[in-house]
Amino acid sequence: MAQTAIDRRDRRDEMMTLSSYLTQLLKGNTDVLILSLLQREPMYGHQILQELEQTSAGFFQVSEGTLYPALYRLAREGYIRGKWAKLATGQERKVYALTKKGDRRLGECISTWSGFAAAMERVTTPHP
Amino acid sequence: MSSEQTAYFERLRMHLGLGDPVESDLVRELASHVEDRVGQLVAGGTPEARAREIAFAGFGRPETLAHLVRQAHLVTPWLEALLGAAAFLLVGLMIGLGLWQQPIAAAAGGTLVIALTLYGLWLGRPPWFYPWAGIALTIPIIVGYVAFAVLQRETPLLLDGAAGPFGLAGFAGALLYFPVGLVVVAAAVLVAVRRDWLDASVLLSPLPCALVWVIAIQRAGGITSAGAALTDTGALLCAVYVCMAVAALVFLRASVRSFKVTTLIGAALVLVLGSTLLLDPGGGLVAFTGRAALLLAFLLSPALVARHA
Repeated sequence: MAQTAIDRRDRRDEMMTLSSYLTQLLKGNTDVLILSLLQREPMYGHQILQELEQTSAGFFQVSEGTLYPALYRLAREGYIRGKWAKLATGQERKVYALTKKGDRRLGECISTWSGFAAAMERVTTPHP
Repeated sequence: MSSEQTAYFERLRMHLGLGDPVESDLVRELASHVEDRVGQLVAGGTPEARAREIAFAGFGRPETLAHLVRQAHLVTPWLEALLGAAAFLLVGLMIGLGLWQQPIAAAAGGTLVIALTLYGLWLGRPPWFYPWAGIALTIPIIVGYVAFAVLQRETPLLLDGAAGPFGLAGFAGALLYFPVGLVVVAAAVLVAVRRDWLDASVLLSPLPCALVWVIAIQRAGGITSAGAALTDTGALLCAVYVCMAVAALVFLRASVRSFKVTTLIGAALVLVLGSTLLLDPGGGLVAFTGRAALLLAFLLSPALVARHA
């Protein structure tokens, strides 16, 4: 009985560690995810969150509290530009678009990411 | 906007301190996001009150969101950072090339400083505004120096009862100038502290440079006859201002607060070194340490004001 409780607690701790690992991964890649989406087309905040969730089949769930500071940081660094625009519905939204600098930055990030992913793959794949 | 929404955005704005135009734009954007999110949840069958709760939960606590947004605004774009640094560079060039002695060049420089300060004020005080406003605040120091010269000249005449009406008016004006100048500087610092004490420190940073310059002019025989005697002094002061320009650039580009504070302290130490070489080369370590402590206390005083504000 006591052993089962310990196992359950260990399992819960393990899950929390995994969740924290995923959070860290996401935190380090939020900028790339946003830039990638904006490379497809200019979008506003809510649209970015929806697209992110739909494209990743619900895997990436970024909160508003993470998205907006990231958008402001990217805009300050000149990677994206926000502009108020009228939508087809008549509502006004601040729509973000990728700048040339942002496009270059995204290319560099994707190239680094590809190298990183390939190296991870090589290291984590068990030897036959 | 619901009362909860209003309360949330009010708390957010209270902790943002980014100036009215930026804050209004941000709140407008976040409010439109809430509108979209609530609409989406309500369309999915969630009751509106609950949908609103969920929408705001996504933003987190207003204090935390404000902190993250402020962090995002810590980095100043290159162009703006260069514009901020240009304030020190301009004064450095004016001193180094002796342009301050040519009335047209001096007037053009002064006009540029005031125009950019007013433009920055109109834009809602972006980060590049503070170095320019600080340089603009040195103008009262120069006027104060002229006022001091008037006092020095008129006091003996006044004591002898030989001062004319113009002398009397000048004496009264000069006497009034000091408290008024102090009030102007204090008011500017208090306004800057409300947003961020670091901005107020940047605002104060050109004042000690101007003071050193004024002392150097006085030692070289006063504002009308200092010219040639200030050649070496001008070169050294120009170097100090160029260092300040580099420090301003690093400060504005830094993305971490502690690095900004370190840059400010570094710039203060360069200024103390420059002023020691200029005014008191044989002063010794104790005098140097005393001056450094005084300058650091002066530059970091806005932190204390912010704590008690």
